[in-house]
Amino acid sequence: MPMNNLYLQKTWLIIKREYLSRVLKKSFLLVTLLTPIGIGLIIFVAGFFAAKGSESSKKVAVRDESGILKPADLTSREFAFSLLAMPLDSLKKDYTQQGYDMMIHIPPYTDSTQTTHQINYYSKEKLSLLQIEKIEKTMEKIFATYKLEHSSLDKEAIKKLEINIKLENAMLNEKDGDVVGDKSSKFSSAIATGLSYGMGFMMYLVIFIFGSMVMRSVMEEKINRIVEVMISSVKPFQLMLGKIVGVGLVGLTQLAIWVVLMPVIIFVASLAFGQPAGLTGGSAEVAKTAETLQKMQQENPEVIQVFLRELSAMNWSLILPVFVVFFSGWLFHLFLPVCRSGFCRR
Amino acid sequence: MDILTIENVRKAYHSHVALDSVSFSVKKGTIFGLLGPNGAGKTTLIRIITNITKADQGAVYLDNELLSIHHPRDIGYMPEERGLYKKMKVADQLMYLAQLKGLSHDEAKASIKMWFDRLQMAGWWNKKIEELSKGMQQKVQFVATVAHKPKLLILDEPFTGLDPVNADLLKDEIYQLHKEGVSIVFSTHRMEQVEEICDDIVLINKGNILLNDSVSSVRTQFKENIFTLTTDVPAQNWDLIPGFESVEEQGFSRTFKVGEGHHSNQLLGYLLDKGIKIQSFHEVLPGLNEIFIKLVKTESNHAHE
Repeated sequence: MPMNNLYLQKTWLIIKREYLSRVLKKSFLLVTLLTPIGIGLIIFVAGFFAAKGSESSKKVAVRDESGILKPADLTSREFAFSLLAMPLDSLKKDYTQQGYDMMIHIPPYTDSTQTTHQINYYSKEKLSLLQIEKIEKTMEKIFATYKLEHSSLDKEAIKKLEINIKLENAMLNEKDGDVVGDKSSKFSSAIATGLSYGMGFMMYLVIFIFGSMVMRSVMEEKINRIVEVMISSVKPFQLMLGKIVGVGLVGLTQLAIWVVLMPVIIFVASLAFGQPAGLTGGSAEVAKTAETLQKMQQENPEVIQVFLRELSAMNWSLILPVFVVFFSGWLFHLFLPVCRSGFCRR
Repeated sequence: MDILTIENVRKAYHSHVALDSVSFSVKKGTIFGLLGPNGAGKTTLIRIITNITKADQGAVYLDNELLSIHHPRDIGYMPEERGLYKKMKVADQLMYLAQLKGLSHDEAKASIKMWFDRLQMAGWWNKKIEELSKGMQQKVQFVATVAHKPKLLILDEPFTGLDPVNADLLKDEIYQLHKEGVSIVFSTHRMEQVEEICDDIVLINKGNILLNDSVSSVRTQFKENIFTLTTDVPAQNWDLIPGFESVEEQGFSRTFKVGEGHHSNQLLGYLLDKGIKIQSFHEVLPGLNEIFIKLVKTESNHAHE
């Protein structure tokens, strides 16, 4: 097969058509623009509900018969505790009328060697596991402090036993100390986390969406029945090559637009609503990333500049080649169904 | 001079032999009919000529050159299963296909514009294929086939799905191209079109050539000495003389077969003697349709025996 000028020219024509006919479609524009906006919207809505949820904390009446609890200890974002001294029976009956969502009863705690202590709650709604755990933690802390105070151990000695370990990236500090300071090293690991999630998301999209896109584009000629006209003009190999490269370029174009649009929209959405918890969907790491970002933002008003500086400090010389390798692997993967359908031509 | 020469072409799919050592040639500037019943191997042969599949054996020469990948430029092919990209605009589509055949951008544009004028397609330039009626799409398909000015035009069942007006239009264009010197190969199983249009034919059945000749000589070759005679008296008023066999009687005319060793002049002399005036007398040549059916039937009878 001579690779002459005309051969390449025809292949180029096919690539051009495959690319333009897809990119200029209305559906392409819609999907490309709406997907990031949709994700932004999810963050927006999730952030909205998260913000709303934390506003309306539960009012909890606490009847403490142990005498250990002090009002100062009972602070929580989710719960508004009130210590009440009313008789238990009447409180059980009318805690709702007094405007409380639930009531907690703490029975007397006499034996300080006891390591478990059961307390009860009264509520119309069942508490979620998370809420139960939170109340348990609060109570455990108070009881632990109480037990320490009443033990024979020296308070100062106990304080001395506490330690808080901080892990920082020393490499970054050494490399360019002026850009990457003490704060930004944490910042850069936050960016790296975000980047890895972004890349994973992209791979997922690429494999599912564009794989089927190439499949459909190969079917197109057969459905339109133009395949005979086409392969009486060009070699089937040229047609397939044109299709794979054309559709691959469409995929890259879409990704490029997303890569630019997505962070902008996510950033705007997370600025509007302090906690982009909706994006994480239970992923604690991303939540932490967002928290770190948020903290950074409060501590440093030039956060966007630092963000961009940190982003450019990422190891792009490794990230980009790896991405290209992944992408070409994906192209190879696409060859398989394409070749199969090519061979099946009657 | 031959535009197309097929030499001992054989093609088999698994155990099924689609073409079995087929040879024939098409003279330059003629309209050639490639005939045969469904499944005879016509489409397979066309696909070999158009470089879509390769023959297992044998060779195809286009204008005395062995067929190669450069030849799509010289061949225009309209497949039986027509198809275009439905979402594409007419002009983009035609430009695309013409350039894939090897025309430059400007050559393609000039040629397509010329055809738009010739077929009264002005105003279709920016329409999408799916917005056109079926007849209009056929016109676009035809332009796609001829826009690159091929030396050889291959039309596979070109008239199927066309209304009489569009069929006539296409026929006129085919004659026009014929006049301009383009060689045309027609594939069809509809004989009346072949009789009307083609100069030469080849008849294929089950991968073998049954017949390869000019239309007129085929018809003479298969004549059965049948004549029709019209006189001024009803046909039942006179009898045939021995050696003549009646085929059909209708009003004032009678169709009859002349037996071996006899001549129609004998009957004419007999009628003149009786004072019967002869108004018309002509030989009935068999239609290609009858020849076709007869040949294909005998062939399959042989196969059964």
